[in-house]
Amino acid sequence: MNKFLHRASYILLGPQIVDPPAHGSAGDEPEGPEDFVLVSRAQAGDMRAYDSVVLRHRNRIFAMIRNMTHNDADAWDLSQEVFIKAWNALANFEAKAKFSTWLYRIAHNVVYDWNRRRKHDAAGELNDEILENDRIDPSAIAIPHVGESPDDHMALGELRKKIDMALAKISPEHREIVILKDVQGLSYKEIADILGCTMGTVMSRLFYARQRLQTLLKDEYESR
Amino acid sequence: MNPDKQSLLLWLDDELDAADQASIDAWASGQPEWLAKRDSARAWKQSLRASVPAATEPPYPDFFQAKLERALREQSPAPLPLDESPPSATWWKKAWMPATVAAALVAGFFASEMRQETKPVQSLVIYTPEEGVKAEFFESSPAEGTVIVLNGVAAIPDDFEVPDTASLDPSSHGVAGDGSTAPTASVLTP
Repeated sequence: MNKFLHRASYILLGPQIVDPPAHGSAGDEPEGPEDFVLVSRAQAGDMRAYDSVVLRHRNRIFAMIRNMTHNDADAWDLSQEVFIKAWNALANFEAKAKFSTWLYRIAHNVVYDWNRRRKHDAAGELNDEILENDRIDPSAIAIPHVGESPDDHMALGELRKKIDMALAKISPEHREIVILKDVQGLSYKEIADILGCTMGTVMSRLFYARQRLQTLLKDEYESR
Repeated sequence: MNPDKQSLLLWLDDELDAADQASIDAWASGQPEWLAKRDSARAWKQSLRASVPAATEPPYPDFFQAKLERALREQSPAPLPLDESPPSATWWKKAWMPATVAAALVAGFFASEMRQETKPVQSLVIYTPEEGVKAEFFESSPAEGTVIVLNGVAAIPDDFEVPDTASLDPSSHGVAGDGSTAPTASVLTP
């Protein structure tokens, strides 16, 4: 039994004994009194405090957007956009909700707009020539970063590759909800706040998203 | 009593508070299929989290911060909430406004006259990807030139050959197409 078969059966079929995840959390979430103080100081115009806020949250925001776009460069730019928009709207943030939930909501809107623009500009094509290695001066000290090449991608873990492919196949709405719930570890209530819908809608959408994803992973397994 | 559907879904995802969790745990102890579903849901999430990162540093994180800071400084300050917006000018403030504008224009004129000597530009954010390297940026209007000074760069080996892409064409060196003298590149010395 190869690694994928083992992990797929583990995911899809087997009730295995595993450690339960942290209650509604994916771990090192930077939320707490320190975050609250920093955000309050940033709201008063303290840019140094905002710099610290960004430092605390950028890795989760970048990962969320990277998992949505599957592209480092786009995720980098969109993350910048998120933190600029957050700064501009900081005065409107009320400490009723977690700051990270508020940031995720901005990230959701930024990615939504990006998806819409991308559909609109789909006629444009990337000029791959500018990224070809043999067109780059070998003596150049820096070369363009073009993200994962297909070869690098093959070197990734087998399961990661399968999950990435399956995530790319489902709709952006389903992908986002799986990422927020099952990867980022947010609660149903937080996701409902981010997406601006009811908890019932989140539950229903997540159910279909998981089902679709698990079916895709099962297909991958059976086709081998 | 059977729990409602929403509570069951929250239970499957370990989102209930301790009291509700204990209550449904007691009910589920006689429901092996629901226990299996919860284990399966936990395994699914664990596999996803092990494979798809929940937190990733953006590439070039220092540059990420520097670029963001510059973007924020270049734009106007973050807007105040509506109820904290400054009150409208009173009549005596309005009376002083023309004099204030005139004074600002005069001060601006003298400031531009005095800005003749070369000095570091403070508003720029300069990013150096190599650790330990510091960069200073100078701009001189009279000389119509800019200089970037890098401190801390490793010594260039003697056998280093400047690649063609960075050299000047000797035939046009120092002379532009119209015969005028063009600015020349600075020379690197060890």
